[in-house]
Amino acid sequence: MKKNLGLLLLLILACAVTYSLNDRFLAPVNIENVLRRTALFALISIGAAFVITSGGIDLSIGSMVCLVGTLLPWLTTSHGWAWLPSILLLLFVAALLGASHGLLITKLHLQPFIVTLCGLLLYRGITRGLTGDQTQGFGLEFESLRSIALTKISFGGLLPFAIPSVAFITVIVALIASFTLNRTRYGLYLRALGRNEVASRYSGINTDLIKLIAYVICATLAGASGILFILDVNSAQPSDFGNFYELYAIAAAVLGGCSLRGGEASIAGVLLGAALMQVLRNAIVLLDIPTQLEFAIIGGVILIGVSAEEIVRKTARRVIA
Amino acid sequence: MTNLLEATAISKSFGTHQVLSDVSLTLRQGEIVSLIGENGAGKSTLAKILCGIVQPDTGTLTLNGNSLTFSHPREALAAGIGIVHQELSLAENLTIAENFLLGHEPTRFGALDRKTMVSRTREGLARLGLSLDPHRLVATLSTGQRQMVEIARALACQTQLLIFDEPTSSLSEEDSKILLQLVKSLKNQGIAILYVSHRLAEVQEISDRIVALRDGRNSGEAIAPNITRENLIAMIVGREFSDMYGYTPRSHGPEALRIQNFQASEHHTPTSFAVRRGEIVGIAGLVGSGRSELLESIFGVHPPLMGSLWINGSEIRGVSPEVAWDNGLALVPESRKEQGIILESSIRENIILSDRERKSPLSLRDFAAERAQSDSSVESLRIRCTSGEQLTKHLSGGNQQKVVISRCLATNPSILLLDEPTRGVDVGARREIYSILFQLAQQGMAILFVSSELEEVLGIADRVLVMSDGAITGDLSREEASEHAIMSLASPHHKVAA
Repeated sequence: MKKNLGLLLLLILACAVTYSLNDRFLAPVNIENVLRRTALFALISIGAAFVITSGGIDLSIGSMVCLVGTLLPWLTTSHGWAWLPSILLLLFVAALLGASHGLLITKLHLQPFIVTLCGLLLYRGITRGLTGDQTQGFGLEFESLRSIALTKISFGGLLPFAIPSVAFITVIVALIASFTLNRTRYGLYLRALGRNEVASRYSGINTDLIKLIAYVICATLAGASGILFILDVNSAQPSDFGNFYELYAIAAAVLGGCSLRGGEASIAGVLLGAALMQVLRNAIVLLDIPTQLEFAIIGGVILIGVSAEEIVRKTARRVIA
Repeated sequence: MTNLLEATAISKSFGTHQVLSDVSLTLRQGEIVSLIGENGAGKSTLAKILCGIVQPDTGTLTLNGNSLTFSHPREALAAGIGIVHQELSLAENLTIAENFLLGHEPTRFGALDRKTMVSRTREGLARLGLSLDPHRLVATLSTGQRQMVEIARALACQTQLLIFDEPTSSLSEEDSKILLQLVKSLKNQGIAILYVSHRLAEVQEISDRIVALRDGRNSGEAIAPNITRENLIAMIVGREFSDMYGYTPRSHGPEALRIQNFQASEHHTPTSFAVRRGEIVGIAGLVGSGRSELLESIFGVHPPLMGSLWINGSEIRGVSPEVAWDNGLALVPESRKEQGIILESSIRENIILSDRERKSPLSLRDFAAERAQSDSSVESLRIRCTSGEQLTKHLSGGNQQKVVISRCLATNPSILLLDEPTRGVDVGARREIYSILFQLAQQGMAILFVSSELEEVLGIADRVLVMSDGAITGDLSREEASEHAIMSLASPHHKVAA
C-alpha cells in the first residue's frame, strides 16, 4: 500500500483542484457518475494487470469490449435471442479468444504485442462486418437487464450519494483478483514468471499454462465489462465503441504500479489508477476545458505520475544506500 | 627497468561486499604477468579497474609514472590500456569492420567513412596475421576468430598494456594454442600483458611472473619458471589442496538414476550410465562438450531424442522440468541469474517455488509454512541475509547459490543435479557447498554434477564421467581419476573416429 501513496496523493490533488474550481464536482450525481465510470474502467484495468504481470501486454481490450458490447444487443434485439444465452455465449467467445492469444504466445512464441494488435484489428473489423456498421442498442427493451448496470444503491442518510451497482461488481472482482495474486500459488507463479520466465520453468512451473490463464482472465474481464458498458450506455456504434480502452487499461495498471517488465502488480493501485483517469476526464468536462485537449491532459498527468514515482523510488534508494 | 604500470593499494567494495582490499600489482614493458585466483578472488574486478570499467574506492594507478584516474573505458583505451573480455563483447549483427571501430568510427562530412573503416580494419587484422574479410558479419565467425578480432580491436590504439580476462575459457584446445602464441608475439613487440586465467598449465607456460589473489588480497607472487603447480595451488587456496574439500569415502546404495541409450541432442552420442544412492558423480569435459545439455535433457528442459530415463527403478516418460521435480529430481542450473534464481523475489519466495505439495496454481499459499521452510533453509545452509524476506538480488553469488540449492532440497529430492555448482561463488561459501553435498550424499542422495574446474571434480566426486564432443569417453573411479587422465579423455581428438 505504501507503494501507492504517491498515486493516492495525486488522486486527492486532482479531486481537490477540480472541486475548488467547480463545486459541482462533489454533487451526488457527479460522484455517482465518476464512480460508475471508474468501476467500469477498473474492470478492464484489472484484466490488463494480470497480463502485464506476466510480462505481456493486451492491445485487444478495446476491440473485445466492442465485440461483446455491440453483439449483445445485436443478438438480443436484432436477432431475438434471449439475454442469458447471449451473454453466456459472448463471454465464452471472449474467454476463447483470450485462450487463443495465450496459445499463440506460448506455443508459437509470437510476441504478445503482435498477437493482440492483430486481435485489436480483427475483433473490431469482425464486429463492424457482422453488424453492417450499424448502431446497436436495446431501445426501450431489456429494462430489467439494463438495471444491472444502472441501479444505484443509496445508504439512506449514511451517504449523501448512492453507490452504483457496477461499483459493487468491481469491488468483488478486485477482491477476488487481489486474493488470486497474493494468496494463491497462481499469483506466486505469475509474478515469478514475470520476473524470470526461464528460472520459473526450471523451477517446475507450467509457465505456458499460467500465462495462458492470464490472457483468458484479461479477455473475459474485457468481455464482461463490454456487457456492462453497453447496458450502461444503451446503444453504441461498432466503429468507435471501446476505442482506446486498452490504453486506458494499460495506463491505469502502470500508474497503479504494474511494471511493463512484468512481475509487479497491485490491484489497489490499479483501482486508484483507473479512478485518477476518470477524475481527469470528469474535470475536463466540469472545468470547461476544450474536450480536444482530453488526451493531452491525460497523457501529461500519466507522464507526471510515473516520473514522480520513479524519482521518489530513486531518491529512496539513495537515502537507504 | 622501471615499471610501466603500478597499481598500489587498490580497494573496492560493492555494497557491503569487499571485493578487493589493498591489492597491488606492477607490470613492466614486454612482460607477461598472470593473475590467478579462485572465482570471486577479485581477478576480474582488478582487471576492470585497470581498464576503467570499474572505479576503485581507494588506491592509485600510474602508467609510465603518470597518475591515472579513469571514469570511462574510453579514457583507459586512449591511455594505452586495452582489454579482451571473458565474455566476447562483439555485436553479432554487425560486420567485423563495424565492430572494429565501434565508438570511434572515422567520418567524412558527418557520414561514416566506410572505405577508411575497411582499410583500417584490414590493417589491424593483418597485424595479427589474419586475413578475414572486414565485411563479414561477426555472427558467421567461430569463437576463436571472434577472439582474434577482439584482440585486434584492443590493439587498434597505441596499446601499451593488454589485459586478457579468461581468454581461453570458451576456446577449443587448438584455438587456445594459437592464442598463446599470439600473446607471446605481442610480448616480443614490447606490449605488457596481464593474463587473467585459472588454467594453471597455460599460466605456467606463458608467464614471466605470476601474481595470486585470494579473497580480494594479494596472496603470493612468483617468478614463473621456478614455481611448481603445487606452489601455485597453495598460493590460490592458501592451504593444502586436500583440505579444501574434506572428502571421506561413503558406501553407496542401490541405483537411483539410470539413463539407457539416452541421446540428449543430435550433437550427442547415445549413452548409458547410472548414479547410485549416496554417490557423487562428476561430469568433466571441455566447454562445448555437451555436459550441460545432457544434464538439462535428463531434467527435461530439452526432451531427449531417444533413450529411457529410470528413477529409483521405474521408467519416467514424457520428461519436462515439472515431471522431473515430481519424480524426485532437482536441478541447480548452470546460469544462476538466468535459470536459477528470481532476483526480484525474496529468499522465501525463491525457496518455496518448487514446492510439490502445493504445486497446483489453485492451491492457497500457507505463509506460516513458507516462513518455516525458508527460516530452516536459511539456518541449515547458513545463508547470510537479514531475513528470509530479503530480495535475492542483494545477496552474494554464494548465498544466491545456496538459495537455489535450498529450493531443490525443499522438495526432498532423491537425485540432485548440479551444473557448475560453485561458479562465481567465493571460497568460503564454496567449501560450505561441498560439505552440504557430502552431507546429502551421506544421507543417501544421489548427486550428479557438471564442473569445468578439474580440481573440484577431483576433490568431491566418487566417480568421474568424462565427456568429449557429446559422448562419454571415460568412466573413472576416484582412484583412476587424475587431471592427466581426464584431460586426455576430454580432448576432442581422443575420440575414436566413428
